[in-house]
Amino acid sequence: MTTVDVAQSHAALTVSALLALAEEKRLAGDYRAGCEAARQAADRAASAGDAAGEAAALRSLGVQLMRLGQQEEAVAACRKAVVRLETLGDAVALCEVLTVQAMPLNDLGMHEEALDVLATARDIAQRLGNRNLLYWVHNRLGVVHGSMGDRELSTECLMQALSLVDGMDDEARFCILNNVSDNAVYEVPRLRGRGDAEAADRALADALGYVAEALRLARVACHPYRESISLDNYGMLLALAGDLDGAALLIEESRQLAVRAGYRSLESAALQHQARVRLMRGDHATAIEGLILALDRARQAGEKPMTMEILRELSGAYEKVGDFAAALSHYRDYHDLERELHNQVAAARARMAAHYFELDNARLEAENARLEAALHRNRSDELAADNLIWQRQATEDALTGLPNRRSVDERLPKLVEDGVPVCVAVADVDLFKRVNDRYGHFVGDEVLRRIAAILLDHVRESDLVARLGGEEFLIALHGSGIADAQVKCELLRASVAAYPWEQIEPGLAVTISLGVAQIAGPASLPDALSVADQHLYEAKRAGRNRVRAA
Amino acid sequence: MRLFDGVARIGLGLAAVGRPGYINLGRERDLPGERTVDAMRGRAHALLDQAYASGVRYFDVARSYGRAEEFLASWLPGHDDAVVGSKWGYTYTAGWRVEAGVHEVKDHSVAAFERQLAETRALLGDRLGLYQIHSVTPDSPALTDRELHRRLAGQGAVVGLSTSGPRQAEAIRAACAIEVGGEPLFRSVQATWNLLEPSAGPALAEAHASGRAVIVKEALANGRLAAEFPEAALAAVLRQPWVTVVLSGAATGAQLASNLRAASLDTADLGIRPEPPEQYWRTRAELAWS
Repeated sequence: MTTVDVAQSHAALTVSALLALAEEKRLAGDYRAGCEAARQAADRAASAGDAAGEAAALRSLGVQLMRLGQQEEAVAACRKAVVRLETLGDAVALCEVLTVQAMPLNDLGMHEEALDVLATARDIAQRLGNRNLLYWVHNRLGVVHGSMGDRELSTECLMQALSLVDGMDDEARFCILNNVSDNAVYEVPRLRGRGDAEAADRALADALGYVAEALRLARVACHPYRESISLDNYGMLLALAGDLDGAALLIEESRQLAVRAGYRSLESAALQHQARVRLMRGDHATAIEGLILALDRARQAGEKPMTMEILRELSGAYEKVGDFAAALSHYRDYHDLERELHNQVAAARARMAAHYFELDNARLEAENARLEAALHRNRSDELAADNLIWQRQATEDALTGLPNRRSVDERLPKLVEDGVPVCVAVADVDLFKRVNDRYGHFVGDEVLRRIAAILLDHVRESDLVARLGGEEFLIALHGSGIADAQVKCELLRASVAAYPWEQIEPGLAVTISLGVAQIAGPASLPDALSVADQHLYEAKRAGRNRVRAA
Repeated sequence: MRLFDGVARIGLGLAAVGRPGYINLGRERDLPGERTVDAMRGRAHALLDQAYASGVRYFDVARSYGRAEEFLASWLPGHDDAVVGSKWGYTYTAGWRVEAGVHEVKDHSVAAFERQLAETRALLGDRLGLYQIHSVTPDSPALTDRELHRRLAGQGAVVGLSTSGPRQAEAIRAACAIEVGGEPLFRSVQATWNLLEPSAGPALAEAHASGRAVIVKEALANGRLAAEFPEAALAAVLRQPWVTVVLSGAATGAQLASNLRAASLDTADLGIRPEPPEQYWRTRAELAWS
């Protein structure tokens, strides 16, 4: 027994030491060493059965793999961490990992998947009311929307994150200041192109302030990656402000830092931006040289979106100098690459789906093992408690906590046996598919949960409210004749319609339709349910959001 | 307030029986399926007779309650001590149908007042004791229209207002501050107060303290409190020291009898939690006309 304890504490110590080392390397921008330490920590934690340690190590690994451009591996590490954290029920850590996972997905061009994980993260952050988590969600949402080309939405999300950053650490401050200034590099030309010079000037002046502060924070932290990236952004913003010399100096400084530390994508970005500054000077020939070099580096780094951007710029530059053949050739390369990228995203999706499948299988196996162990527990009180839980799970709807259809089959006949009048109503959410399609399944689930709460809030303890499945609920009103039941159902309908749904999502509105029938006795229960269904159908046909009882 | 001297503390409002459609719950049960003008007039007169015989003396109608003014006017002869209050500000637009797109349209302008006063006077003549602006909210122009205030003060009957919406207290306090010729304009306030929506209580207490009559409507929350505690919920209103008259909105003789019993009931705590005013009024707005 003693041996096991010692072994466990030793393993735990090693994992935490490795984790500390991974974090130290990450903060120093030495992502290769950081990955190695994180990988070892994850392996050791897994063999010691330390799920929390493994999840923390996988998260660190995901972050650092992403910085090294190994996006698919980063997604896989994050995904594995998510599975561990779901099992542990650690909502805060889960939300943190999801915000990390969105970044490599974004870099892989899998924007929908990135938005999807961020939607889950946002739900968690909002449910917990956690300001720090909300900050990261908004920050990442801003980055993803920016990548998708929606600069306006990107700015909105980033500004929301900026408003939440007070009181957070320097890393968070750096991250948002840098992202806002990076976004401005695209937003300022967009505003100028739209003829909104005043807004463009304002955005540029703000961004110059943000980037200066970001650079200061990067230097205080002695973090070469952050310093390089903020120098590059600073340079591009200076170029937009007309200071081309200052811009060239800062971008060159960024490039040198990137070369020294081996950040290939940052080096390629700096080369591309140097060429852009030359283009702004009208120095097309030198710009083309620089872009060719940048293209080479971007290809080496495997940075396909950046390669495409450079190819497009090269095509434009060749056009400016009158070399239309070269312009066309690069334009074709650009389109070829676009097709290739598209195919790669599809292939990456397929690979990841296979990986998720493996993970799900592993999770199921783990769950089965857990259940088996639980079944073999020999203490009778534990067994009794388990039985209670199983019974609840068997009769309770997991989403809403209401009794499920099986429970209705058991309880409704008992309710009718009492001899007092009982009415049964079947309620259905109007156009629920549209809610799911328009706002997503998370909102759809939340709608069902809130409807359950509204229904419960407006019936008596002797009544029964259950979820029959999908968007369908059953309400059994004990001691009510059909006229009273109709009145009560009308109030339920009005209460759902009056609920401030727009607080969940702007524009969201939800109503229910109800069909009511009286149950004459236990034998007539199936008939009554069928009549209630028929009345529900009539309510729907009459225009929805209404009650039909006769 | 002399108008209500000696008047029983329960009055009868005809909102539910002056027209075929209204938002009160349970109308399918309470009223005949075929709601002709004659059938509704018959129901209104029966309720008026029953109420009068039980000592009720205040009767409340409005221009927008379908034919309620007309039903009351044809019953008034022989009931000289009945006190009549009506309202202007909403126009009935349902054309005696239950399922109409719009049942009533609000207009608090001077022109609407002049038109509806003439219509009310044509039916009720000098029996009109109290004339109220219908359903005032804090943003109503009726609170700031000085010309309207002068005309209200000069129309002969006691001037009152009724309020609705989640900001009733604000509307009541703003109305009580209005003066014409150095005298307070409104001498009577009618508002919704019930166990689910008691938020106007303090403002109504202030109105009462300043010598104004306070009439409470919707004591049973449009039928929401009627199923389980009809008498106790009404008794809870009567227990408020600032209430001059609480209106029964009965649609049947049995409901009226139940409401009248509330006067002699000792109330217990019913354990009803008030709703946030916004929620209450949103739900009220969603109740179907039936």
